[in-house]
Amino acid sequence: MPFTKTGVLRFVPPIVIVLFLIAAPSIFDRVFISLLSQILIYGLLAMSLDLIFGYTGMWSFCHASIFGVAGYTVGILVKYYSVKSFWVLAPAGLSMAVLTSLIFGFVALRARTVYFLLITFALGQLIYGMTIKFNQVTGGSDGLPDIPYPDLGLGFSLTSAQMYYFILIIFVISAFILYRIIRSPFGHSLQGIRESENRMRALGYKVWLHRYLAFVISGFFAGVAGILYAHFSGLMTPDSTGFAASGLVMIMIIVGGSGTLWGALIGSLVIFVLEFYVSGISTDRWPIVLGACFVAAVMFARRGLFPVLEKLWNKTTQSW
Amino acid sequence: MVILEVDQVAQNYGGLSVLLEISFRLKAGERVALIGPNGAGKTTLFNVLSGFVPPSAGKVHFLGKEITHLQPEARASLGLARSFQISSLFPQLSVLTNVLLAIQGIQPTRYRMFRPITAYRDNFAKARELLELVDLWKKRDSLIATLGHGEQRQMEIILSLASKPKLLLLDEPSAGLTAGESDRLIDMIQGLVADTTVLLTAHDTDLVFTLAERVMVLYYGEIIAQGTPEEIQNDPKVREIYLGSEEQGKYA
Repeated sequence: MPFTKTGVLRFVPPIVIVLFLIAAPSIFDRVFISLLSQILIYGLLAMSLDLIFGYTGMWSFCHASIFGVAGYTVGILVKYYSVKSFWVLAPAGLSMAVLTSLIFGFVALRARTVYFLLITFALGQLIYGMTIKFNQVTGGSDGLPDIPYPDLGLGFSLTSAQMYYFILIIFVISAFILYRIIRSPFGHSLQGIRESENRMRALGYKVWLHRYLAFVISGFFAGVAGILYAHFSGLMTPDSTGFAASGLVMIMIIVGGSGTLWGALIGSLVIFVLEFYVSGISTDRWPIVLGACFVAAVMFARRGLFPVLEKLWNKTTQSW
Repeated sequence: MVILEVDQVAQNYGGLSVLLEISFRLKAGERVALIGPNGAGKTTLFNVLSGFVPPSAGKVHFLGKEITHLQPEARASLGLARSFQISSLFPQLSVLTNVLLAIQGIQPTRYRMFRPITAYRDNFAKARELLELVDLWKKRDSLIATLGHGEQRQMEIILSLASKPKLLLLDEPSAGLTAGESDRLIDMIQGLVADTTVLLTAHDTDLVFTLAERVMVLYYGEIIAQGTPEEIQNDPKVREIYLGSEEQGKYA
């Protein structure tokens, strides 16, 4: 129903948001643009996790590690092999992210629910441990510094505003693909698996293969986010790959609304904006606020913020 | 033509024998009811036939192929479908999506990732046809969780036969329905399974006698009688163990 009133109105919020994101660098200062970039990168990471977390019902706890593998691959290639071209770094980072997902998925998919979570947790800590212990390669807990903005082979290096647009473009393309996937026959099959695995098997679905594919696709986009993060922040540290980071991404989904895709972006927005302002007051207090924010979301918006906003929007537009 | 051949299938859970070397055959186009008191082993037999539980002994052949140890999804792609006694739908998905998922279950379409699920015209048309039959087309965008129990039972049947199976196993299709709802469900099943081989279990005698050409009686893991519905109704052994003895029957 694209031409009915509600059909058209449905497209208003995303268009307004995209216009806002395009106009942002000419309105706001660099600090805010840097915050927006971070929101987009983690938003993409959270959206990619939502594909398996919210849509398939697989509680993966190693998502930041796959993100980290891609980022570290970029960092290592830059530092030790002096690779500069983005067109070499990105495929390398993505390949490593996909390879890691292929292996992790194969190991972890023997289990489901909480056991799946525990296995992915252990696998994630394996990556975290490697980033600390292989310090000749990874720089240990100091991390890998000095990763430049991507060299796109255009003959000039990106300014910070251009970097923001670069992130925005990749984000929009990735989000569009994820959006198409969740609406496709495959995406709906994933939701079917979440709802009733036995029925799916009785209908003829190879549930394991569906789960595995979803895990790897999700890992691919985590890799995309990891590469953007490495270039954007210029620094890969073990903290960005550990369980705390994986947990933070999960909290973003729960706060924003799991199984809604856009909720993951909203979660990223809420958490980073809160962190930005609370850290301005006191860095130590941030975890308390994060915890309170999580509890509030679970108590007052059990299905997350996105369904609440959606309802509000529908109510407002109905009265027009 | 024999579609399903069950050869001395037995099932033990620990020391408990639920099925004792059961053997029977289903011919193409036959509609057979499996009746028996609670705990007779009906659902266990269904789980063995649909692949959810491997049998302890015996063999199952489907369309001439041995399927004793095949997974449920592999059996489904051969054309064996089942319904569940306790509705096993996708509660948080729409009515239309539920049917589309069932239709694409054994098609390569299930792996397509870019176009919306509703963009596959053939499947969409099939889904519409099925939903119009049960008068649920107008509710296609409602979540399954919002449907009543009767409508959910209808969806349960629709999902099980959406892929046009060669053999359909219906496990208590009318479970939990009122008499009126049950009558409508019987009509619906009759219309839908005209040329499908069906094996069904039921407590509802109306359902058994309207739908089945042949009835098998399962009692503590054994088939103790089989025949036409009339023969079974008049079988003294069946009357005694299943319908209650003559004396009890008078006061029941």
